[in-house]
Amino acid sequence: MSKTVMIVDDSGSFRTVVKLALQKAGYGVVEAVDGKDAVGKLNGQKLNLIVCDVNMPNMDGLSFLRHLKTTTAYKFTPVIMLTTESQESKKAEGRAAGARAWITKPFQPSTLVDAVNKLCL
Amino acid sequence: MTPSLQPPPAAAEAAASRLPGWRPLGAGAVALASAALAWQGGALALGGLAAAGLALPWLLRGAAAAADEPRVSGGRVGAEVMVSQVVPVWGRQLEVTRAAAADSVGLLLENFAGMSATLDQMVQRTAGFGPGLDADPLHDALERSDGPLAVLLAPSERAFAQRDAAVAELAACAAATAELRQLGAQAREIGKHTRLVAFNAAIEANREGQGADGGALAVAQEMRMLAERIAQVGQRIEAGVGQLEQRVNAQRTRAELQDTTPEELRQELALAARQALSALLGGAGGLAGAMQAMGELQRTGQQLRDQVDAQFIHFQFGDRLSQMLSIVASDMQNFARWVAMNPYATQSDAVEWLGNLEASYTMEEQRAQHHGNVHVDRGSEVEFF
Repeated sequence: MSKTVMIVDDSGSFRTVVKLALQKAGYGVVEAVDGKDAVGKLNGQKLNLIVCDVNMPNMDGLSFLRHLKTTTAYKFTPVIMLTTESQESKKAEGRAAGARAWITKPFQPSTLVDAVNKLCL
Repeated sequence: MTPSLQPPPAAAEAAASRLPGWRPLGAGAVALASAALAWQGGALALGGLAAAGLALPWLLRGAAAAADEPRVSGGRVGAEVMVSQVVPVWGRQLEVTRAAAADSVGLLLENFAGMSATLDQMVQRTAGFGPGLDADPLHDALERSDGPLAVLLAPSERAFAQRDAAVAELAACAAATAELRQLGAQAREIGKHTRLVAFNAAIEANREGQGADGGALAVAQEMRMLAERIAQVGQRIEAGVGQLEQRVNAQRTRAELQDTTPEELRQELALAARQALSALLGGAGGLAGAMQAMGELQRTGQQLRDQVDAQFIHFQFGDRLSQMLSIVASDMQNFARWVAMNPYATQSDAVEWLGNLEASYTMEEQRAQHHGNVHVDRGSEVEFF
């Protein structure tokens, strides 16, 4: 049974690129358009990893990450932040919130897949 | 499509006469919109954003300059009126451009994703038939012939085993015939001894015959005849065994002369099979040619797929462009509102505005463009925590 990764990004094209790369690597994919949508789609389902943007409407990525860490089911689910943000202060926020890796857009799909392979539970 | 950025004629004239920077500002905005429309990977969009970055401080300067002059006089209007009317138009143009670019990139991305998936399927399907990307089809075919060759060789190997068993039997027969020859010789010896005994018996019978009946003589005569027959049988056995030995030995010699080991036979058959396969595969229009073509197709498919995949990173600029334009459009709206409420801008206002703009940026490119640096060299790397 393939592992499942949730992609949280308000950009449809980014979700498409990430989904394509991960599906080629054999992962199942669940999509969410922002943090609020992602919270609604958790539903206790098994997620092996989450790839999350930072700047999104309704609920940004860091808020979603902090929420995730308060849940029993997902507090240990690894999260990779995939974002245009490259400021060290933002990275520090992500690290403090519990992110496991930070990838700055634009990214090479192979780079993302390598990171997912490394961190996926 | 060239964006229409025509200000209302009367307002434009008025603004041009009162705001020295009006025309350059318009040119900057045209550059921004044109760059966005002509986007091909994000670089031009950055140029457009650079133009916007230059336009904003200039607009602030224009607004400040306007503060020293009468705001409304004889049908002329102030900068805040101009800005409140013109900036929303640019905003709408930017939004339309951003939406069109985002839609186009989205469609392109979907198409490329489909192409990539199709190529992936093609490579996987041809991999089932083709010789592999780095393989020599003829060599591989010959390598694969080992299994069928073993099947072909099995009956021959069984025949050779039977032949070896027969030769072993012949050797055993040779040993047996030697024993028979010895028995024949012994029979002949027995015959000689019996004849000697019969001869002695005859002498004895003759010596005693003068006083006895002729029975003993007759027995001696019979014994001599029996001895003769035993000796003849022994001779015939020896002669027959001798002939049999000659035949067995001749057969053994022939079998040994023709002896070929199974390994030698395998090599001979393998060579013959490879020659036949080469003749079958080696022709220009033969199977090898088709397999070579299949290999080329696989390589080409994989290269094409890799090239398509490489485009995905460029598509990401479409999203970045959309994000930048969205921010610029929003900032322009905010700026128009601000100018409407603050017609007498000062240099400190400009500094504050620029500072707020810079603080709102999310991308390295935006920060670089803000300060007039066009080139940003940044790779995609993972930072693990």
